[in-house]
Amino acid sequence: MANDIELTEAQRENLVAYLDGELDEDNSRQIEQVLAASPTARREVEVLMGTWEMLDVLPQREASEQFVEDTMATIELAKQSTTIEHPLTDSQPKFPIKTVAVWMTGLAVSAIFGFFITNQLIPNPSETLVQELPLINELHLYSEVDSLEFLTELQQAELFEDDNELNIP
Amino acid sequence: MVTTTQIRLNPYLRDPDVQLMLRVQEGDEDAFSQLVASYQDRMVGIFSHLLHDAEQAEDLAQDVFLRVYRSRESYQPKAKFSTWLFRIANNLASNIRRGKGRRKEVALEVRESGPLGIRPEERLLVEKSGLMPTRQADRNETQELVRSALETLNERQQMAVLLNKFENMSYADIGQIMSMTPAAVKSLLSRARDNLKIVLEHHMK
Repeated sequence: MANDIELTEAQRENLVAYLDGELDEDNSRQIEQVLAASPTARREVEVLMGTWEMLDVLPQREASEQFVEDTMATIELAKQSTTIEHPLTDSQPKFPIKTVAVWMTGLAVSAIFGFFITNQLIPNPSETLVQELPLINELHLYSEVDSLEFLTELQQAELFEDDNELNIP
Repeated sequence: MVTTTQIRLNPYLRDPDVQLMLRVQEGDEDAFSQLVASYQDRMVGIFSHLLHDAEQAEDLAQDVFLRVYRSRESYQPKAKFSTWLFRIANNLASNIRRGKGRRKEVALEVRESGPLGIRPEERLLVEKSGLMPTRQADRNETQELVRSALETLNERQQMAVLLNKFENMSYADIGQIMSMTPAAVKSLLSRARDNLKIVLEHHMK
């Protein structure tokens, strides 16, 4: 049984819940016992109720007469602007997969075609060197000869035993 | 058409406003208009208490209904319609307050009368009600005092007080709106009423 003492925090919470009709039966009975025994608790209830009632002086605003029409008009406007701003639904991607695939294939074909074209038109310097290799190997001998006519005359003179050694046709 | 079995599985389907919202989901705009008409004063009322700006309160109430309409397709009756609606309002109020805090804006005070003084219809109302000017002044003073007391509460305490006091909502409903347990609401309201008591106690008549 509570005497005329300060209420605990739990009791204060229960007191407010009791006034709001939110307390269960057991706790309500306990609070009633506290109130019966404690003038402080009774004073507390009076003040809590009094200050709560003071909130009734606050003006209760109501919506303007055209609120419903205005709201419906706003909604109609919002619906129209949504249709204009977002003609596509969110589930539609900006770049469909099909379009991306076509573009990728086109790029790959272009790259391969470009490779073959450049390979055929521009001569490879290494290939020329390979073709001219026999001449290059004998270049030091050819450089001793002034002209092809001189070499032919020399062959006809039969001064050398092996005429084919220089591979002259 | 909702069957008895469906109602047994989901008791919220008994709520006539939930039924209206389900009709809105099916494209019935008249049903939406009915919901707006039913809740317009309550929405404007709660925003007026929170923001003390009648014009902004109407704009926000309209914003709440716009959000309701936009979410009609995904709507599922998992609570009473009013609980769902006030939950949207609570979220919107929190966003507005956060925005205000960032911009350091000062809330406009609601003018009881026009800039030229008391309006004729207000004068008539005062006379009709038999209130003498001094009594009216007293009442305005008390209103200002109570409003100031309410402003000493934090955002959550204020919302809980308004829902409890002016919407007569249970701790369970307030908890659903504010994403709290009923025990936490009990504690929140107890602290709020203690704070109100501190400011208002000496002005009690």
